Amino acid sequence: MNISQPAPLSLARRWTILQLETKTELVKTFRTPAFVIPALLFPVMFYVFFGLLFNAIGGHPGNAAKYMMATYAVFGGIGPALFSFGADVASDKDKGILSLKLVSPMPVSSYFAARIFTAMLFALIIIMSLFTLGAVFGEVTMTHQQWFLTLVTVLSGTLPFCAMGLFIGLSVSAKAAPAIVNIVYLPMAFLSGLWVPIHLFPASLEMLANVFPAYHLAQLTLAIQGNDSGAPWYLHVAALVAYTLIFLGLSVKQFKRVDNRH
Amino acid sequence: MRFSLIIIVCLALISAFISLLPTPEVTPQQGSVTSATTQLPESGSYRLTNVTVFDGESWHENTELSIHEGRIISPGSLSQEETLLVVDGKGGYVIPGLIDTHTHSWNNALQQSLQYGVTTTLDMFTDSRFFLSKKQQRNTLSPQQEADLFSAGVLVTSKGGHGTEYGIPIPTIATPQEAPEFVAARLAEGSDYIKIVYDASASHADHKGRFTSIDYETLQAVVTAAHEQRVLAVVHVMDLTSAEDAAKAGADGLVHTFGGKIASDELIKLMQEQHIFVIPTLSILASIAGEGRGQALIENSPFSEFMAPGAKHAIATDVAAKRLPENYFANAQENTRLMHKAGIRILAGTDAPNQGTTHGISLHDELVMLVDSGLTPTEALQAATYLPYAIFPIGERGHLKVGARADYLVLNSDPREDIRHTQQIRWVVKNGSKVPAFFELRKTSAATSESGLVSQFDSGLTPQLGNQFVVSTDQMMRGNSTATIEHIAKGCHNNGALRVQGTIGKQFPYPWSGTFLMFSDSIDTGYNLSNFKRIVFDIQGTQGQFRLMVLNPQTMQPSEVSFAVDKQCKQVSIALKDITGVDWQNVSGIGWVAGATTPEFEFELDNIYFE
Repeated sequence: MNISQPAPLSLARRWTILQLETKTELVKTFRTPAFVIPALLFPVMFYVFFGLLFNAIGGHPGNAAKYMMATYAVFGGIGPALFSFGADVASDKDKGILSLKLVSPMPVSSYFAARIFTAMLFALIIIMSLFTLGAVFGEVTMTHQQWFLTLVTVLSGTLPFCAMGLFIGLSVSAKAAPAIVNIVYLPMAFLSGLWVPIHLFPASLEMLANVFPAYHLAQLTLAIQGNDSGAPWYLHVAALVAYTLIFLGLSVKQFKRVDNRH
Repeated sequence: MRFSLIIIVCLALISAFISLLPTPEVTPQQGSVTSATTQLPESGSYRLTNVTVFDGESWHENTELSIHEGRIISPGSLSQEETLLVVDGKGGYVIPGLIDTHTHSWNNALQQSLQYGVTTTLDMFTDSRFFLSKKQQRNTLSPQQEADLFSAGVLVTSKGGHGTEYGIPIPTIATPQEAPEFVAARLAEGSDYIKIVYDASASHADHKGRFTSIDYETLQAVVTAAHEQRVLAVVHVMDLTSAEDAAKAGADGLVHTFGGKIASDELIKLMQEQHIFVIPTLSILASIAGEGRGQALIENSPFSEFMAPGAKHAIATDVAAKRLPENYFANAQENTRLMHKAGIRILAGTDAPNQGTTHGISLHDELVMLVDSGLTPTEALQAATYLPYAIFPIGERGHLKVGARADYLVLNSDPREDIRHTQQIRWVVKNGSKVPAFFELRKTSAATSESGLVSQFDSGLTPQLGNQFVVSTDQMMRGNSTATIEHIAKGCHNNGALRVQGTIGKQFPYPWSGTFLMFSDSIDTGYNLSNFKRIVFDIQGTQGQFRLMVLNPQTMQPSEVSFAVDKQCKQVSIALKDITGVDWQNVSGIGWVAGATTPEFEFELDNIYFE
């Protein structure tokens, strides 16, 4: 007989809580232009520079633009995932907001779901911008199925990076978090071939790329358009699932250590 | 409810967005074979299927060749979705681009070589200015219209030795002590290997030849110096004793075989032991012996109807030297046979463009002569592909294994059946891109004229036929001859004429100075004069021999004929067919020039016409 134990929440209530949490999360994020603008602008800008302008100089119109569209979609997609979890969770943790949310009746899953949703929404905007640019200026053509699969793959592919970001956010202080995220994000993006096609790399670096989840997501996305390096798709999926589980496991460990005495 | 509605609207918008995105006109079927074409694409990336391939060493029946960015790649190395364009080889026979291992290069040597399927030439002495101007382009994988050039640069010879007679001043060597420095200087100039000229008989008291030679000690010192500086040392020898000396001195290869005597057992043994290779150059030896092979090529070969006048001219007459030892050419072939039987590596080289030989064409005939000397057709092909690759530092040329440059020929018939089938060329491919073969050269349909009158110079220098008269001297070859031209009112017949005055300098060995009638603004486009039989003109001036020069756009070397000039005005009439080696359908200029015999000259030209 544990009276202090609250009654389990009904599904409808959980749904409402999730809506509210998502809404506030979105409002909060969009009121931070310092985050919104770079997150949206960088992938798009890079794609214009490297994917479209360079493409116009070399031969084979369309193919390089298509290739880069996929890799910059991945680059754009994983950024918000890493920052939304990495930097924001660290800040919530340091300010005590995380502790507050934990003691509130809200299920903690809503907190994370709202963040995932926000990250995905950003990814969606970026992907759609890149699609538009590629289609209009890069002469990219794909079947509807390929366009759709690319979108879905990158969107769901943000999950491992949410887990990764979460681990970072729970592990380091709010001050250190953005720096740490950048240290992970930018080199990983480059070494996974998100900026420069991976086959231009020396063979040893191409091998090394296998350790990065971003490489597997990029290969998965490129496989849709037939520009991947040839490994079977399920290996990439397996790698991504494995990374998600590893970082989730690590995050649970860190979560238990969070100091709630604010 | 509102939240769900927003999500549904968003999803609908995304779907609408995706449905608006462009789709390919034809849905690509991933991994499927695109329909085969029978044309090679412009880019150097494609798969050539349905061919039999000789990779330089061995044959592969009914296989395919993958080419990516100008190189041979292994078929699986690109992801299968990156489907290479498939080109149907239609049962053709693919052999590596041929390598001529003994040439001398200038003018259009590299163009002509490539047109006939020789994609790499190993030059054995040329003007280093020519070599250096061409050296860089062998590094590129972009489409090329010329064969790649490797060269010994300046050869190693004595003062007054063979090699000094061409008018290009070259350094010579006198003592063994100079050898290391001499070799180092050649390498500094860019030479890829060292070629030495050696004639053992030159040191004999009764030597009657026109050339001196370095002595044995110097030969040995140069070979040693070359080896110390890690380059090959090859030796020009023309007789048995010299060949034996070269072998003893440790040479890497002989760049001729010899007629006259049969190779001694000692020579064969030395060559076997030291793995010395030989480039028999039967082409030039056949010309020296007057075998008439060039004439046979002109009259009856797949090349016959396409040969450029310059090439025809070059092989029409053999050297046909007098006082040759008996069985000179038969013995040269016998020596090749003996060396081949003894396991000595035989390489294909022609010594083009010495008289009786010409770039590209002669190498096909060299292969025929090698087969006549006991090589199998496949061994003859190796002599022009894999062996040069294995011996000379020429990069990935001469084979078609993975990583090789995509320099190759597609033949219509199997050269194993008859080595003459190398002349049945369908495609010549350099750096993966098809280049115009000898039978595909665009015939420039040059302008022509009904009236043959060039000018009577009544009022000025502007001709009625042709573009303009210009001054032409050897200054364009760094000579120092001079000339001026002017219109004078009272010339030959007391009416207007063209007066040329000038001096002949000594800087260029084959000096000229005078005036040229140009048929267009540049020397690259020609004029059709084939409807005329003779050129006629009035001339008076310094007493002596002058020359009429005719220039074709592709051949930088003019054809010429000489005529006499007197103080009295007289008419000169020259039959066009007497000026050999000219393509009269495509003439870029005609010149009246003075040479070394008239150091200071002047002449007046008038009433020039063709008839």
